[in-house]
Amino acid sequence: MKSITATGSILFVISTLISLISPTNAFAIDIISFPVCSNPQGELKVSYAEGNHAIVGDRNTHQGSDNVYDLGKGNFMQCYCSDDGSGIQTNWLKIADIADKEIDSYVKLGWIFVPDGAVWGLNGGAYLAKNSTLSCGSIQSTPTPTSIPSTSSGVGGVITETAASTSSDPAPVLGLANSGTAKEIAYFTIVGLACITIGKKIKAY
Amino acid sequence: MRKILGNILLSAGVCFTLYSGLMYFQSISPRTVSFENAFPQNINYDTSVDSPERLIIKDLGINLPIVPTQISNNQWGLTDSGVSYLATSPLPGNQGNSVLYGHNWKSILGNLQKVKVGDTIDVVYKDGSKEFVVMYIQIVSPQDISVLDPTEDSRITLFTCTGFLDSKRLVVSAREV
Repeated sequence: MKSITATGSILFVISTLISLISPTNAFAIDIISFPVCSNPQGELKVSYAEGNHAIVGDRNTHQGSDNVYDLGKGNFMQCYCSDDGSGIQTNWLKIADIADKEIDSYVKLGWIFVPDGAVWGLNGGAYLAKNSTLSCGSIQSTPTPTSIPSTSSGVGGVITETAASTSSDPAPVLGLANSGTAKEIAYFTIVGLACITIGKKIKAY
Repeated sequence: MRKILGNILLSAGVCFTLYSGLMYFQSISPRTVSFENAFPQNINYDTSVDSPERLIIKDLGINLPIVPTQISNNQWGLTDSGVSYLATSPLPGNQGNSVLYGHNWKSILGNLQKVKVGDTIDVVYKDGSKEFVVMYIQIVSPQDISVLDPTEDSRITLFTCTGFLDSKRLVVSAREV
């Protein structure tokens, strides 16, 4: 009985660890591979060198530059760069009518549901939007825009009431762990071996 | 009670040990600094004459040799002693997107996470050097191969691995000045 309990607890911890590092969700929507703002692709639709902009999922206004690229099939990429060099990339994924349950699944993954993209200067219909942070400078890649709207109603150009608030602010771009270093490997090895040794002694005591 | 505590410690110990082994494997695997499904074109210059020799980021204390590498059988070549330069991309300083990458070890590009927009990156050749200014820093997934796409300007794209189990890429884009 004891050995079963021990084996069970070990399997539980290992399976929990594996579940944390394994992709688990499969969805009906094909999430396209969005380019990144450092090397934008698609057709530049809107470009503001300066001004106040709205970012989906954030009720604050943001001062800086804003470029929007049309990636085709109703999908867009928005590249905002603040005057102080902190930027936000927003991926706009056009979606067809999908069930609320599936929308909730995406929201749990950090996507923001936007019922009508037209409010944000995009095509009509529902969108999923996702923000990520970046650092950017004043030297930006600005391919020649093929069409610039005469009004300031492009994505991020106006504040709207549909900007949903979110409590999960993205982490600073330079704040991520530097995984796999010798120091960390040694740390986890030592802690692991110590735990095994102590655990064995406690059991044998 | 002791048995339960012992089992918990044993479980945690096994997990920590496995995790450290996984980190070690990740750190030595060339896949950790590759982008998936990226196949640039052939080399179009004389590597024995034109190759860049060193990469210097003074603000971060980085001064490393540059080793030309290629993608072979979908595996990205990778040096353990400096920065790898994807020789199928344009030479740094020529028009286009020059791709350089390396491990996130402290002795190589571990300090790259401290880079700031505006920092300068020097690429040294036998007969001089080219200076680049960092304009973008972004963390992307290994599937975001658009960072490697050709550009009309002269830039270098320098990246290393980052994130949990090196599952992300820290990408620094710098334009020639």
